[in-house]
Amino acid sequence: MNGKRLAALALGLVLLLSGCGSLGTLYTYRSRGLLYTHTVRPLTRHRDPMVVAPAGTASGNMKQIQFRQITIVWDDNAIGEIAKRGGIGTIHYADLETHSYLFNLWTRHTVIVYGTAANPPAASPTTGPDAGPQSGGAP
Amino acid sequence: MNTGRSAVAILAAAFLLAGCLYSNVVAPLDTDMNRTTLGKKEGRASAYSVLWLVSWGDAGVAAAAKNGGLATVNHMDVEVQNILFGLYTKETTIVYGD
Repeated sequence: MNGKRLAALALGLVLLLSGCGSLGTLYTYRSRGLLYTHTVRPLTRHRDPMVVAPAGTASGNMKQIQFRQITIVWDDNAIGEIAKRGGIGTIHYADLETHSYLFNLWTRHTVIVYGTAANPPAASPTTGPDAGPQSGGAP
Repeated sequence: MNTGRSAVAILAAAFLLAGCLYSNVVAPLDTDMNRTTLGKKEGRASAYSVLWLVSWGDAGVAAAAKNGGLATVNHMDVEVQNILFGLYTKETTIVYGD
């Protein structure tokens, strides 16, 4: 009797804890190799149609060294900062590249931002006859 | 005492084995499908993982779009294949557009 109860308990737990049916698992699931990982995955989920091959690409990365519970993380992976640094004015989408070695001892996350290059600086005001009245000019 | 030990062992096994014996599912990557036109083209890009030891592959949007020859992406799905609790996994980004 005890055996049957335990078996039922185990079956129930396995079913309850199983990640198969969970959509949430799909979105949080990220397969990582313990020895080596080099993958690229979508970072953004756009709701609107997006242009795939825009003019600009910029990337920034964040490094991590981890030994047991001790982790050191540094550098910048912010999309806005990357775009600003890379001269991207309009961001279309971003991918996330992950490098990892030896039980995550060394990990590098690189955000790759794709977008359209920032507009060039506005041209200086024209001074020709079509430019209109200038400040202080005759009407 | 034996029952207690068995319960602990079963609990441990349940936690360790939690996951999927086998799955092959496709789910949306974006959730707002309001008046979305899929488009005529489809592109796929995959990343793999074997034995929980090595993982590789470019499953990014750029790679999927390039593989399918897409200039505009309208919708994205993700396909996940998982065998034996992650012994082998394949994640595929699917993009639709023109």
